[in-house]
Amino acid sequence: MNRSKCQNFQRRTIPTGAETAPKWSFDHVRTGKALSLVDAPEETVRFLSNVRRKLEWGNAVRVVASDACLVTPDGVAVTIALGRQFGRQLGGELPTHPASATVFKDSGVIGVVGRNAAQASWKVVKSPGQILKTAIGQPEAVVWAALAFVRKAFGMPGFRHQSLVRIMTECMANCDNHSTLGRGDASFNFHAFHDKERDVVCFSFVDGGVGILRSLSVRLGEQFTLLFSPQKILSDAMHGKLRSRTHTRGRGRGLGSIRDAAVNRKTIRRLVVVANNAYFDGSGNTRRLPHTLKGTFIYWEICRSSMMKPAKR
Amino acid sequence: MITMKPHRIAVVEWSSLPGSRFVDDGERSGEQYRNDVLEPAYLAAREAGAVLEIDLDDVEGYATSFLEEAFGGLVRGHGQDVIGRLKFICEDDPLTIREVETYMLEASEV
Repeated sequence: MNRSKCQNFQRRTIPTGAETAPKWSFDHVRTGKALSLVDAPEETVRFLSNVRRKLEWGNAVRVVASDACLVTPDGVAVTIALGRQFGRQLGGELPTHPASATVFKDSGVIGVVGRNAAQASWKVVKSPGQILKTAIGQPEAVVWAALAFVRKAFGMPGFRHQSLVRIMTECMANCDNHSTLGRGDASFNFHAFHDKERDVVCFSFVDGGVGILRSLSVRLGEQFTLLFSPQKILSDAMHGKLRSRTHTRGRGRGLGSIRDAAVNRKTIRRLVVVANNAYFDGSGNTRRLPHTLKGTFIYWEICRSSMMKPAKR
Repeated sequence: MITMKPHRIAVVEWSSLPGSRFVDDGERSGEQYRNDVLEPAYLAAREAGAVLEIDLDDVEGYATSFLEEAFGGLVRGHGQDVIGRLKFICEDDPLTIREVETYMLEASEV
């Protein structure tokens, strides 16, 4: 694609009339038929890669999702997270497919369909979906928010879900330790969504860091990442076979414990991890993706039957 | 041989939501639990020649890093005596006991 032609064609200015008003340029980025890292990772990562490129140029992005007929909450979550990472609210068009449009609306964003750039905005609304946190620090508050969301969704006040707490803590610790290669300015998004039809709560974790594979290449050396495929490295990390970046004894178990919850304890369902250009899921499938998702994405679902009785206290 | 009445602590009395590994990682870390609660209780039990029972039930959940740092860290500090002196209770999820014991055994190696 001719970059300059694309920018010129799609650049628009908000007609505020004020000389001092900021001028925004909008780039339209069209989703494919699917916006779902879980079900269509190749297509979705390609879309996200396009959005990121536009945002890196400093433009606002207007996502055109009208063609999408397979939209899952994780696809919406990761799109919102990308916009937030660049400090931008993404605007756009809702899918014309009714079920996909519903997922968009129920995922915590609402679309305002409009050709005018000034109208093109999504805003976060109170809905069955909830963005739990984009934050640095305060992990405890995020976990409490997630527990409250799940209890409310299932109507089980006081019930617990130990794997949810474990996975969230591991995600945040992993983000803190690795996503910025130890610089410590990590940020992340958790997104929760209650799928009433299947009666499951879907969680998406997205960090905008360097990604697990990049972190490992720094730790283990570029040669290591040249010797093995990205999907093999991610799979080994998920099996707890790689030591921690910090080389401290007893470290490097976090990702393995997330897989353990899906495969051995079976307290979560449908685990999917995308890091850089590698895909891994709880069924053991791994593959290399044609485009790179900068950062790390972890998705899982929990169901009513995995809730634990309230504490005795 | 340890025969006295066991000493007993429950993690939930310290926090219902234990955190991550180090104090620097945030509140209620494994390091803080080891320093504030576990190590003093272990030393008291050892002084009395008793077993230390640790109730892991009723918390919202544990991160692996919390468990490893608290219990693996205690073994790294006090050696293999810890392994024989600690007894765990976890009706919520018995696999957690096996997990903690694995961390302690691995910490005792090398």
